[in-house]
Amino acid sequence: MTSLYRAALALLLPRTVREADGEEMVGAFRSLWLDAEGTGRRIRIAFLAFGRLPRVAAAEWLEQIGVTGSPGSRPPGRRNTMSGWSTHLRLAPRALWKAPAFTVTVVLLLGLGVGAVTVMFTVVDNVVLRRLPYPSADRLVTLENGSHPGPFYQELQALNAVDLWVASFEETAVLVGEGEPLRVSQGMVSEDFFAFFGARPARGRLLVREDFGTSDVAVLSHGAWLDLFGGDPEIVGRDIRLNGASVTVVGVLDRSFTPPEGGPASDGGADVWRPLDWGNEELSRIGYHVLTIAGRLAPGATLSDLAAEVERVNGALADRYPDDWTTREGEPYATPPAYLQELSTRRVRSGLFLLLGAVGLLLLVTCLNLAHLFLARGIGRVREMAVRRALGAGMGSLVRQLLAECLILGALGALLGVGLAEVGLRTFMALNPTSLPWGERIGVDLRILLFTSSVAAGTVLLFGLLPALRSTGGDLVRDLRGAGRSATAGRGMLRMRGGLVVVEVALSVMLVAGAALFLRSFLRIQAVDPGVAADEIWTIPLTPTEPTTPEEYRLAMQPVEAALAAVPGVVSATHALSLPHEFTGGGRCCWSTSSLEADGEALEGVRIALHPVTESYFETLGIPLLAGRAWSEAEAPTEPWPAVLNEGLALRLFGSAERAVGRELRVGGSGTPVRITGVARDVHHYGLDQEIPVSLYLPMEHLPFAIPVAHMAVRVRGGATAGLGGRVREAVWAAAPDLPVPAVRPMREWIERSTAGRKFDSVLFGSFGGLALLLAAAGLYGTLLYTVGQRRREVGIRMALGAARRRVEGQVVRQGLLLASVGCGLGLVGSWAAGRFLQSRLFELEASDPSTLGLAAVTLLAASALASWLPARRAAGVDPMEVLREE
Amino acid sequence: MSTDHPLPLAPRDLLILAALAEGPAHGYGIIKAVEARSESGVLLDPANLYRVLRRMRREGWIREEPGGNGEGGVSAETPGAPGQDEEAREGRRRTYAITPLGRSLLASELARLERLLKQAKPALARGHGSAE
Repeated sequence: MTSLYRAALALLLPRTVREADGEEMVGAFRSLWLDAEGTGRRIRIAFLAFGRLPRVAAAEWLEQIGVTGSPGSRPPGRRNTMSGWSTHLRLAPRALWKAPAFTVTVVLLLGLGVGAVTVMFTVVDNVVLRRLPYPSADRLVTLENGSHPGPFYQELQALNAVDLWVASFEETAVLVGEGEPLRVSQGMVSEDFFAFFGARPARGRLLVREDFGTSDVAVLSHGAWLDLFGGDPEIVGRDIRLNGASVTVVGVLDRSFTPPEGGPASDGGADVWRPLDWGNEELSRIGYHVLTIAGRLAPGATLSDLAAEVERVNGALADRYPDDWTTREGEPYATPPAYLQELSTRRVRSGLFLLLGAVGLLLLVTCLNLAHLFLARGIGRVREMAVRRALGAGMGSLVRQLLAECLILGALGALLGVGLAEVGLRTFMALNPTSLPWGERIGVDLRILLFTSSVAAGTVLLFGLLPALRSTGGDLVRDLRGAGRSATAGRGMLRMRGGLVVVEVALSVMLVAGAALFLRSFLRIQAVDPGVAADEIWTIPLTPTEPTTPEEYRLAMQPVEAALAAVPGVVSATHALSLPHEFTGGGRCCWSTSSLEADGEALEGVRIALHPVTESYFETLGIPLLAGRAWSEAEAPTEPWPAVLNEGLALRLFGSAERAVGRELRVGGSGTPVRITGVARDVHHYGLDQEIPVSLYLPMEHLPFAIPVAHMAVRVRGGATAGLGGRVREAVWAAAPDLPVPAVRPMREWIERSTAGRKFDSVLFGSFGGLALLLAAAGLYGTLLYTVGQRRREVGIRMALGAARRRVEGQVVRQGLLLASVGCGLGLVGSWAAGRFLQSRLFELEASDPSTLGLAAVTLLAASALASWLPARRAAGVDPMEVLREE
Repeated sequence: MSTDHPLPLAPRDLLILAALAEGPAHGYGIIKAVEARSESGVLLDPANLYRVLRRMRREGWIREEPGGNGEGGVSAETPGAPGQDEEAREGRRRTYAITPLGRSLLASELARLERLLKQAKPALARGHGSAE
């Protein structure tokens, strides 16, 4: 026990105290311990000796570093120490009040830096770091690789590593009877789904065992209950009409329930939840990938246990269904398990951490500028401090005074930071086009406030107090005589400030380079030709859920297209399974094939997008035909199917567009013959930043399935769009009364949406970069101004001796540029190293692109040159006579 | 040396001074004496005790005994050789003694407390009287 006490003393106490009294303390403890009678007393002694030690140690350390006053001058008793502090806290605001420019600048900088970091930290904390709000959230897993078929889910039930599986899928449904026909999303869930995610009802009940097997009950989401049914208090028991069938509402979900990202209805959950019907024939097909699956790990089981078990299941399925459950390479289909927490934040994680990093850099630049300010203020106060010391104030008292000032500045900065964070957070959430999971729960809370205050306090102490101390510790006599008179004064200070400038410039180069990269990437994507007459096209996505056969589907949609074509102002109308730019980001195509034969030769390893469209598609969208023509209305239903290739496919198969026209292809597994009538120019179908897909356009007549998706488009002459939305809706409802028309949008809007993320990145990084640039320039300016002030005498004498003005100017500018160049060099290295974090967000641009990085460095150098030139002019403006007279 | 009035003393300081007023003692002796003296059983922890002792010495209330003739009874100059037993090591302990300044401080603090008691006690007696 004694040696334990010795170790604790060695660990906790300052060396001087240990050397003076350490052995004595150990000796006293040993005697106490050895003389103690009974366990109770020993426990009391151990408790006392070890328990009080931290407090004593803290007091000793504080005394060591002079915070509670130097030992010699400290009056005994707590009372006096306290009054010392209260004096300092009373004096500090007065001192700050006397330097308003300094105070305001520090608080502004601090508030800005802290506010920006707080915003990003809040978002990251809420979206990425916090546990998902479900029971046993850390044991919830999901299976990757998209959605899964029913038979696979049934196989999973036998696994040991998971004690509960749930499945769900989402589909579109049409709700009628509540005003206009509405498109709603419908989540079909397995029995334990709600219990699994800890969902509670706000009204009525959730789904129970008896509901499965009957499909005529539904639970509403809280949002749907409010928005679609006006918060009807009598909703439970009411019948609603979904997809033409009557369904009874049995309950409303609690407001707090949100299904995880990557689960059904990622955008905040489905509107209507219904029991999943395992009797549905589709769900027994191995090729029908529809279910999103989640599971809860059994206690003690690990993810790798599960991975091994799932791999076994996949192996068995590959044996049983070699055609459906093997990859192109003949391996079993893989569905690796992943933690739900990890998967549900994966989409946004890297982007958010990138922004947090950028904000962190910005905070650092602000901090460095704070250090400049404190240094400058310290220099101004050298005399004040020297006088105080000469009058008997101990170092401890001076430190306490500076600390009090720092604390007040820190508190003000933190306050401003929190305010700015509130505003900034709201702005960020409003402007950020990427939908964030848990976006609605994001807010500034106690954790964040603690974070903010500690950042502010740490910043002020590190970047405020240290420089301030640095400037008070000098030679008393010299300081009293007057700082700055000696030629060597402040050399250490200059080195320190020079170092700060170098780091500041380096960090700014990194931010400016990031901004330049994002901006160039954004401009590049803006320059991409959308391939369609985007400004004249309006899109009307429809969801016909009633047709069950391709024939019904076509018969239902043809009159809608005709009605749209007849709308005044509309030149032509078309409809297709999907329109360019509407499904951006992911390859959510509905129909594709990888088998295609031309002249008996198969095209290997290429996935071909099949676009069923009506014959007016090319004319309506303004896609030029490079050779041949589109099929005519009469040709459409004939065999072999008429088809239009895109340029890429034509070149690949026949070497040129002209040679393709009139040739025949065999498409799909069954080798359906297709006759090429024309070749259309390439279109970035899935977004400007996506590759041009290899595409084959086919008549709508040959769509082999009914699907609740029909994307209508109209071309409007000369942008005569006033009232177009209303006219279009009327036209749709005239032809199909129960069809919802959720959005009539110009295609330009879809395109803008698909690039909004890049625009956001550019704007954000641009503002960070601009701010950093400004701060770095200000830091350099301040440092050079200080140097010039220091060397006024020297410059004056040199000028009196005949030195040319230009030469003096040149020298100062050179000094500034030297610092800036070193900073730029470091910054370029930093940018290059940080490039991999940016790469995935850049469009056709290397993160290490030399011209972009060079541009950033040149920008910084130019700003530095300007920041150096102003102090240089002041140096050269020194009047030699005046300087000499001061002597 | 402080020119401020150090009174009133913290109870802990008072007890330590009172213990030393009876004769020089080393740290463990002080702990024992204070514990014996205080009826509520004040037990000082060693680290804090030496912190307080250091402060009192700086203020000039106590001093270290040059000969080290405390309760340990062995001279502090005893050379420490390897393999020494427990007793001999204890012998090197520092002993502390109260200075005249410390003694007068203790006396004036006790006088102050007595005055205070004299003023306060009748109030309690009166309070009792009215309650009865």
